[in-house]
Amino acid sequence: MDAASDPSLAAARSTRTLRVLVVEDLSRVRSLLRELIEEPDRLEVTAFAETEDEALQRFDELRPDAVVVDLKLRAGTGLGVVHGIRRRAPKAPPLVIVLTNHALPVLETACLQAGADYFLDKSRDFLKVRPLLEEARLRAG
Amino acid sequence: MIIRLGLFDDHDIVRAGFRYILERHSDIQIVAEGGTGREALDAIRKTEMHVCLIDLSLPDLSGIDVLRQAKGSHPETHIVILSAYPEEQYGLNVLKAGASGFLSKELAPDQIVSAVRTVAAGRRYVSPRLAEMLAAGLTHDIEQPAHLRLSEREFQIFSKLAVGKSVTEIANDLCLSAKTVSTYRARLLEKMSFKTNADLTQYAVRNQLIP
Repeated sequence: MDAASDPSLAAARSTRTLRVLVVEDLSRVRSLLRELIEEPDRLEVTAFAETEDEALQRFDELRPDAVVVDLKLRAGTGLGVVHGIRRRAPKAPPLVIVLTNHALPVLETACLQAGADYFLDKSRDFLKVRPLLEEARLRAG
Repeated sequence: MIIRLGLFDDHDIVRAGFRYILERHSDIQIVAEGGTGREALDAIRKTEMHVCLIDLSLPDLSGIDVLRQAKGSHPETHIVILSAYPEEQYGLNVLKAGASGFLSKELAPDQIVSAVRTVAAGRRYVSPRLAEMLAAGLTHDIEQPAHLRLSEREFQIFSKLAVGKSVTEIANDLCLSAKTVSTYRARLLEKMSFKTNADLTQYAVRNQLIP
């Protein structure tokens, strides 16, 4: 059922903005992700982080609703970020989307076991990030 | 028995993934890790380990170089070569060089764990796909690609020439004299019916042999 035919979803859409933390060390990709994600009153990139430590610090400060994280970072790894987030918010974890150029089965399994919800290939599935965030926003109400 | 394991790959994130998966098994303990061939050699010499996973293409030495230098002095460490490339390109030469196994990084995590256990038990690990290719190779010898006709040392030198290393550089890498390397070069060019290093590079690119 979509928002147009369900009044409760439509109401939720008008009140709720999904706050997203983007963890990515390349400025070009950060800009692309901001362009892809942001939409006023619906989806907002609340903060960026470039390292594992910075990502976990931003997470503690802001408690975003969703995290989009690259695996290769300037320091630490995205896997460390996923693991750290799950430890910090075991009961109400945010939506965690891993977006990487290292789409190896071993990394996918590790990320999913560590608490990621999705593991996407950066070159193939980049555009999928947006609909996944939209879905999360509707679910969160 | 706890399997003491070494892990050497120059990508931090690949190591992190392997570490995460392998350490969830209580019979596997990672006792050394690093991102270069020198670190791998050093660890094999100084740390007691049963199995060492080494990436084929490290920034300094290749996994095969490490294997050759380590296996004489430390036969108790079973070396498994990891690669982002599929088995058909390197698997046979890696096994010929004395590795206990060849693991494509594309394998599923449970296959990787199973490979570590097999090798730790003193057996060789050959993935079902590589096993099939080896079996097929026995009956299709004539169709073998030229690089599979090279000896282990010739292939090692071929790989270095193909990426543009000079005879002197190769001699230094492998602790051989430049004259010996030149002899191997001449022999492998003849076996492959090539005239120049550029022919080798072209062949290596065409057959996806450049890591």
